Amino acid sequence: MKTLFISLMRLGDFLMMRELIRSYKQKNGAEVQVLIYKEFEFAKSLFPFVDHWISIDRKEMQQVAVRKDQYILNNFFELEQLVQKIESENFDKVISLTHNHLSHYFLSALDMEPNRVIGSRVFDSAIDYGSPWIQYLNDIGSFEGVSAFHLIDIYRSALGLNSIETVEDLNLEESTKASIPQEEYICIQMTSNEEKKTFSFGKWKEVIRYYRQLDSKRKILCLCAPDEEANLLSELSDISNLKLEVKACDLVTAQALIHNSRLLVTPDTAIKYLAIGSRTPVLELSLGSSQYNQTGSYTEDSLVLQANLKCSPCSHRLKCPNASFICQDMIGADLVGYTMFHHMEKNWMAIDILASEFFEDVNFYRTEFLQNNFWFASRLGEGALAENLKSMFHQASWQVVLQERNVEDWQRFDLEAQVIRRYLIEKAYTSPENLRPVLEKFEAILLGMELESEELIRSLSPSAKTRKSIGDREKIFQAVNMWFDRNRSLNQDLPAFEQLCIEAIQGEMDTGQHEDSATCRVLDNMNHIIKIERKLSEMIRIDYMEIL
Amino acid sequence: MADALEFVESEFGPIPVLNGRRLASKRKPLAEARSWVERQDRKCDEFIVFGFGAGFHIDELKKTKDAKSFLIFEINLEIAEFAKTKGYEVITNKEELLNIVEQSFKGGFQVLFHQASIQQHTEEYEEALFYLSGRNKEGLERALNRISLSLDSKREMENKIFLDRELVNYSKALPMDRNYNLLNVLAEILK
Repeated sequence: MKTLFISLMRLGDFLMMRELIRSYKQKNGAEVQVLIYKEFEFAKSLFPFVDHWISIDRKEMQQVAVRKDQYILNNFFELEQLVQKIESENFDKVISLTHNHLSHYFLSALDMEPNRVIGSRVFDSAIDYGSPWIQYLNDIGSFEGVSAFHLIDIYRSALGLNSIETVEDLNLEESTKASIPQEEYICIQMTSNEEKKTFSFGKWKEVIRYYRQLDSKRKILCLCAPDEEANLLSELSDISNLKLEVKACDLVTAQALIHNSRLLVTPDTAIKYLAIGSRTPVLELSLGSSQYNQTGSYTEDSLVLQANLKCSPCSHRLKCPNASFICQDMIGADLVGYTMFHHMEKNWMAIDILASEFFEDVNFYRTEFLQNNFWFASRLGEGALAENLKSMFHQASWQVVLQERNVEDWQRFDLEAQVIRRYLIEKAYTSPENLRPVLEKFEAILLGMELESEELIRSLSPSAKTRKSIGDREKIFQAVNMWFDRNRSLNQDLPAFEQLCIEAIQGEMDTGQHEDSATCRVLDNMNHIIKIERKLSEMIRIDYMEIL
Repeated sequence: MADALEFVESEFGPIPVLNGRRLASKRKPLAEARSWVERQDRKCDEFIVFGFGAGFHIDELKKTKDAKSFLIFEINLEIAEFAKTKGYEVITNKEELLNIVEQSFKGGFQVLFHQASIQQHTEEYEEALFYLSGRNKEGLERALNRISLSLDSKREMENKIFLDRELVNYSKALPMDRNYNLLNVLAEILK
């Protein structure tokens, strides 16, 4: 089996998918080729399992585009040659690991049958995704919803992989081994390519001082690229007496250091993906535009700290309109310093106390892999149970829909119910007395939502809409507004659903659209999700008492 | 005003003198030609050389392995005649040149400039350059037609559009057209 993976976005997005590619190769015994930008070729050494590399020299293309002595189609012909080369290789599968305009057009240009391509593209005059999971990813982006799954899980499911394999031995060269300290240490990645995504050096220094109050023994390695070393040495010179070492290294050495570290502390950077496959927990500071639920640390028992703010996460493209980065200010240096220590010590009780104390200001999420191998970030602290259950029901319901199972066949949700039960027993430590009222309230709300949403969907269907008068539409509009006012906060996909309904009422939805259009599909899925969530809740409520 | 052309003799053959300026070194034309070839920042293996001059640089270019094929464009007709005496076919008309390019250069190409020649006719060579490389409206139309995309002539196009990522929006094409998709890929890469 011969497979091409395409990753044409940022370095971090590519590194995130590293263990996915490795696991795919292990499962399928495939010959794996990868297409990336030439400027990221320096990361090749982290992918020894890749058989062949293809690259696009973006910088060269940019140069050619502005040179008047070059024919305007030179870049075009180069791309055409590349596409022809890919076609001539007869790949069994071409998989795009990025979901953007570029990958959409690139896959559309390939003359390949749909069953051999995974990723969004136009094929035979229609949009094809190659997998319902990629279609879900597309819908989430288009309707500004919040993904119920980590990106790796979306691609893992699309590729039919059961789990991501753990890496036990890195097979390091002697020179790399020599750079790993013999004593215990933790790693910190301080810098990020975006100001809003990391602390200032001043705040990092405070963090380290607070950490040192609890731990004077372990070494702290500040990881950086060689060209950042001088700056870090100068910035951190006044705390060098705190057993701190600035460690300039390449990606392979960084991976080795992280693999052997007690903890990695980092904002949303490519470095955190080097911990995937290792047993090193990550304390991730999810600041600015960082979307922990899609791209968070994909390791067991990592911890994500995120300010409890309405604007968090913000848009990647937008500048922060506030005088200072509030999402950074709300996460104090003392909190990070102390959390680092307890996290390294795996003292989850102490972390839970911190999470409860700062519940209003900072969200603490503990990452884990559920029984079905899906990544899940559960919020810590008192009062988080209802929120975690909602997220868990939501994720489980989407699994049923995306695995294209019969949503009316309730008997077949046993696995999902089992996963949630196990979470409740092993992680949430919830008594039936605590749980029952939460679930009963949840079900009552869902039942109301379900009945009302069905009515709404019927009234908004293209065929019904054409028969409505302006007065009728006004009434529907009011009903929709009221419905969303009551339910908006209950389900993370509802804002997108609301937008669709309003567009439909205002007539922006083309009356000629058929039932299987993207909008109708999203509306139907919403209804299914609500139904499945309620059914799962019922199943858990009824038998949780018996199990305990 | 018509060009004044004369030739001066040298150890290596006749050197054209156009409007009072020699088009190659009289003493070391071969070394000068070798240096010209080395200086070229070649990104393609198919070239169009603007300016024949005394032809020494063409002789040198022929010797290089990576110059797969090339065409010569010379505006001065008398120099074009002189080129024939040295065994070279020279094209003097930009439309004719582009026709040949489109038929024989299946991929892209690059223009190399013989500075001594083009300094005498900067405007004419520049116009030909923009036309050939697709960096004026007419040239861009020709280029896009070559890959089966026709331009929407109602839209205002300026020379700058070749730098503009919106390039593809100036063309009329079906979304499933392979070339349309490739142009969009390019636009995304050049963002």
